[in-house]
Parts: sequence; structure tokens; C-alpha cells
Amino acid sequence: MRDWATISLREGLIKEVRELLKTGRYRSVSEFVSEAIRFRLEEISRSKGPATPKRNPSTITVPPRTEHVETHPDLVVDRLEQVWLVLTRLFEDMMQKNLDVDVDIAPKLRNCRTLINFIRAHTCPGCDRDIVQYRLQDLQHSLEKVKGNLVATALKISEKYAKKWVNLLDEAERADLQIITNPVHTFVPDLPKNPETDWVRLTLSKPIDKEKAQEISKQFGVTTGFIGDSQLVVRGDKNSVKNAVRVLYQLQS
Amino acid sequence: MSKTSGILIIGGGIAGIQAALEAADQSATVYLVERGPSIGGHMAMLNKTFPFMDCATCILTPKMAEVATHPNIKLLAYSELQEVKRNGKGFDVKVLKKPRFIDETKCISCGNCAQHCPVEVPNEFDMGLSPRKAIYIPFPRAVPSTYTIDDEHCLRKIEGIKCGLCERVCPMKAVNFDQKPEIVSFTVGAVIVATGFTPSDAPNKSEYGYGRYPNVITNLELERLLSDSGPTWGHVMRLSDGHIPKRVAFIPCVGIRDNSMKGKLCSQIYCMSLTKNAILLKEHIHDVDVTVFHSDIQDRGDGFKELYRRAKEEFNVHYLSREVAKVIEEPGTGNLIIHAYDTNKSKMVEEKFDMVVLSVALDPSTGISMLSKVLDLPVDECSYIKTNSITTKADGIFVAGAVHGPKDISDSVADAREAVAKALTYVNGDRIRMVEPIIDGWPIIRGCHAVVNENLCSGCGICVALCPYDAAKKDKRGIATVRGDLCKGCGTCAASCPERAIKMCHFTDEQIVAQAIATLGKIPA
Repeated sequence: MRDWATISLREGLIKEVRELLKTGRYRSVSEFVSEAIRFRLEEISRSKGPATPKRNPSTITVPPRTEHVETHPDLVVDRLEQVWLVLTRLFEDMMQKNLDVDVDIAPKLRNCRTLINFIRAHTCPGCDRDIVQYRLQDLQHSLEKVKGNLVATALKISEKYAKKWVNLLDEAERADLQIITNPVHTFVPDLPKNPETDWVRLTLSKPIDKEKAQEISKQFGVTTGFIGDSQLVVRGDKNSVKNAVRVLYQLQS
Repeated sequence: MSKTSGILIIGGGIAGIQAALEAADQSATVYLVERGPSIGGHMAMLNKTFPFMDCATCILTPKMAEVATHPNIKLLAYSELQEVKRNGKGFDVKVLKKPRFIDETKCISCGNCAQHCPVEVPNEFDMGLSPRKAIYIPFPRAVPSTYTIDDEHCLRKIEGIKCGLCERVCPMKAVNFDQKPEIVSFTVGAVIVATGFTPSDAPNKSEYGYGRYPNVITNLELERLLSDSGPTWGHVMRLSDGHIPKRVAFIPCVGIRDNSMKGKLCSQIYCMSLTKNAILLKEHIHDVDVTVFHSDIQDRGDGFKELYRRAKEEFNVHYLSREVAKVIEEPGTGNLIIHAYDTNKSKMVEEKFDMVVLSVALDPSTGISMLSKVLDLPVDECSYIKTNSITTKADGIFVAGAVHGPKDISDSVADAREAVAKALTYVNGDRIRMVEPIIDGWPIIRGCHAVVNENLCSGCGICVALCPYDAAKKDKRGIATVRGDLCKGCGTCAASCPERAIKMCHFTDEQIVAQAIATLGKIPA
């Protein structure tokens, strides 16, 4: 059985957190608060004294890396995800430059993504910490391999190019970098679950004429609903939805 | 190992994954064919496993990751079996690799494509409770985690629309709308079928209101709601309004105990699955009231009785012996009224709930009829593969998991191990050669097979017509022969032979009489 506690926060702070939720980085205010508390506790435990302000990422002088033990997998995987993001960007850059990169890099990066997602889903209190720790080691090992391979290839271009990326990787490893990851999909209440009915939610690049959209819906026997001006939900029989979406999407042009 | 030492495993659920890893660890080359874009099967959708409440993902995901990186496993995801032809002792296999419209050698699973895709559709992995894009990976821990374009919903695939946003934003230039289906051919020595199950259609039981009332859900939908990685991140809520349910009813055996859905077997797993979910619900929502309407509870497995006891005594789950007649939605509130027959009091009762969970029957996987034709395997009245334990009518073809009847995870894993042991024995069996001495026309050392005395056979062909395994054939001279690799030793041919030209090795009349004398001490009357 879990124990819960209610905490009070200023409304201004809550507002800021809710804004942050829109990026998809966090799923709820509780998750944000829990992580913030964990970070703070880690910080205190590392410094073994009163907490110091967080380092400014733009500081030119990089402090030497301290050998500390990160106990919570949440913290480690956050850091490793940033390393993964830098490595994917380096790989993308190399592919665009038509460099001769090892063909196994793409599947290795994909596997790392799977491991990151696995560890993220397993940082709950009930899960076996050993399994998570083993996967963390796997992830670190795989990322090191990819890093070694890519940096070696980068050196073939120039030392400056390689150094630029090594610096970025170092920043990511020190958790001084924050690249925003893609948002997660959210629950959709009150949508049909019947296998014979279907729904499609369209994100529109330009607003469309709502009256005309309703006319088209009637014509195809589907129902449409707007979420603001940018999203449109079409529901109904599978084939009718498909045909209606085709016509409705073209209303943008 | 000989040339045909490879093993084909059809189905990438827990049974297929376990079989692949076991066989690959024994140095066999394994071809794992999965119809969907990722391996994992139904187990990937589960939150916890019963009876010990282990984390399903903790067990499954490391295995999935191992499959992806094992040097002896060739994973063919998003592929379908096209043809299997017997070739000597092996099988020539053709697999159709469906186009993902993504170059697997380039995709790094960065997700830029999905972020920009304008189309969202129901996510099958979350039972339609969350959206996914038309370019997607089924779930975050998917293996392989290559993105796939759903050509049914992709706007680019609809005539007259030039979307292509994913193609423009992919940094790796991995999107390829011109990708074509590809045939992959290889030879294997044995086949393991592990295609699993699919839940029956709940809408067929319209009196329970599934599909009509949003707060009537299935057990698998509840699994997704309970999952920390599910559409609501483990917060159970009503689908109609997002409110937390305070009274939840479980209805097991939907479509099994009446004649409305003929040919459905007891799932054998849902009694414990719903007990597990009832406990989890209590853990998630402390003040929820959980009631199970049941006829009886199947608790035959290891630890099942203890789980049932804990649900009743520790978590106060109410188990009521009632037959549910219908479920009706209360207008305006979305609440559900269950009309049931109380078998103890012999009267109709009505009770109000916030949410109703249906445990439906299990069917074999949807492609089973096509697969049974390709592999020439018979199916039973419920469309499961007809087998004798894990061996099938066809030599070299074995089954594992729920493909031959509803099974839980531990039974499926045990099946997979046994199937691999049998498959490897079959594949390597030709290393052992047996010399068959013949006395008076009868081979005297063999397994429990039928043997023909050529001197007595009249070539009437009765055995050929009756053999259920197609093992008896006539040779060029018109004399019956029995193929030792196909014969299962059923004895039909020996019993029907009018010339008494067929005998069962180790089951001759003399041997049976000798056994009877040894047991009884005299000749039976």
C-alpha cells in the first residue's frame, strides 16, 4: 500500500509547472514535484552540507567532474538520455556530411532508446532495482561504444569538429545540457471503442471553414468536432472517416 | 549442426521470445517471425503478472532486448509467413516482409517524424484509449524500435493528398514511400508455432453494453489503465468523464458459460487475472469497492489459491455467486446498473456501479486459419491447433503457448522450453542411425511404429485410406509401406489390415499377452 501526502504550493509556482507540462517533459504536477525533491535530496547528499546554487550552463570554465554515486535511476537515465540525444545529432550530422559511418550505429542507437524507455518505466518503488541497474549498465556500455565509434569518425574530419561534439557530450554527461524530448500522447476520454467505428484527430496547419467542415461531415455520415482552431476530430464508420478526412484535409489549401 | 539446423519460430509473444532465446543459446540459427511491428505480444500490455504480482515489463523487456541483440536470432518483425514446403528433413520457408516505408538501416528512433505527423488515430497497444500518430512505434519499449507508417491512415497514402511532413523532417532521410514488400527465403530444420491468442469480440455480448456504454471495459483495457506506462499513467479513471470510479464490478466468463458464443473455451487465466486486477485496483484507489460476479473460480495453479484468499481477506474484494443478465446505463450519470440472478437467494437483484469490467473468452490469433493451411495442421472446434501436447500431426512442427488452447504465462514459457527441446532433438536426430535387423520379414528394433511385412501385404490399400497421419503409402509395386518419421503408432492400420501384414513394434499380440501374464500371473480369459 502506498502512502501519500498533500503539499501546498503558491499558485504562481503551480502555473509555471503547468506551463512546463505542455512540453511533455513531465506528465503531472506530482511527477515534477517528486523529481524536484529527489534532485534536491541528491544534491544535498552529494555536497554533504547546505545546497549550492545550480551551475550556470553557459559558464566557460568547466569544473572538474566529481566522482559521485547517483543512486536513483531517474537521475542517471535523464543524464544518459541527454547523451543519447547528442549522439543522435552527431550521427545525423555525419550522415548529412556523407561520412563513412559504421552501419550498426542506427540499430545500436535504436536499442539505446528502447533501454531508456524501459528504465523510465521502471523507476517505480515496486520494481526490481537490480533489473533496472543491469539495464542502466547495458545502456551506459552501449552509449560508450557508439560514442567511441562516432568520435573516432569525427576525428577524421577535423580535431575541431570532434572537440565541439566531445564538449557537448561532456555537458550532457554532467547534466548541464537540457534538450527537450518529444511530448507523450495523452488519454482521450469519451471516444468510441467499438471496433466497427473509428476516429481520426487531425492537426491543421491552417484554420478551416467550420461550416463547410460540418457540411462535409453530413455528406459522409461522420461527426466532427473542433479542438480550438488547430485540431479536428472525425468519428464514424471506418471507410466514411477515411473519405471525410481526405476532403476535410484539403480544405486547408 | 547440419545445414537444416535452423529453427523457424512463428509469433513474437512471450512463448515465441522464450523459444527463440532458448534455441539461440543452444547455437541454433533462429528466424523469429512476428506479424506486428514489434515483438512482445499481449504480455507487453500487462502491468503485473499473477499470482506473485511480478512486474510484467521487468520480465519481458530484458528478453526482448536480448532478442534484438542475440547473434543467432534473425528477427523478422512486421512480416508474415507465405509458404512452408517440406524439403527432405527440412522446410523451405518464404516470409513476406511488409513495407514499413522506413529504412531500417537509417532510422534511429528519434521520433521527429511522429512529432510532426498531423494524423492521430486510436493506439491499438493501449486498446484505443490513447492516440498514436500515423507514423509510429507501437509502444516506447518496442523491439525493433523502428518507426512504421500505417498506410491505412497516412495522408500521403490517400490519393490526392501530398503530405510528406515526416519525410521532410527526418534527419536521417529514412522515410521511403516507395518501399515495396519483400520476400525473404531460408531453410530450417524445424518449426515452432507460437502465435498466441486474441480476446473474443466483447460487442457480441450486447446485453453487457460494451461499445455502447463507455464505462463498460474489458480486462485488457483495465490492464492498460492500471499500467504505469499506460494511457493514464496508472491512474484508473472512467472513460466517459475521467472521474475515479468508486464501485467497480467484474463479470468473468463473458460468452463462455452460455450458448450465445459457441465454440469458446474457458480462458483458464481470467479468474486469476481479474483477481490480480481487483487487488491492483484496491491498491490504486484505496476506497474503491470491488465486486466479482462469478459462477465459480478456477484456482488450480501454483499460488492461485493464496492470491484468491488475499483478494477476499486482505483486500476485501466481494465475490458474489450471481449470474449477470444485463447491464444498463443510468441516463445522465454514466453509472451502470447490473441486473443479476442471485443463485443463493434465487431471486433477481439490481446493483449500481461506476465501472464494469468484462473478462471475455480467448480466441486463437486471427491469422490461425491461414497459418494452419500453410503448415497443413488441423484445428479443433474452437479453431485452436489440434495437438498431442506440443507435437503436431506434422513431423518437425511443434507448438508453444496459447496457440493450442488458452494458457497463462508460466505455462506458455514451459511449453516454449519443451518445444525447443523437441525441435532440437528432431533437427539433430539424423546423427543417430539405427541398424534394423529383419527376421522373417519383420524389422525387430524400432520405436513404437507400424511395420509392414511385405511377404503378407496384398496391396488392398485399406491402411492407406485409414491412416490419420498420411504415413501409410503404396510403393511402386503396390505394396504398403509406412513412413517411420510420420507414423505416430496409433495402430489404426494394424487393426484394419485383413492380411495381418502390419504389426505395431513393441505392441504385437505376443508381447501384450506376455505383459498380461507377467502382470496377472496367468493367461487372461
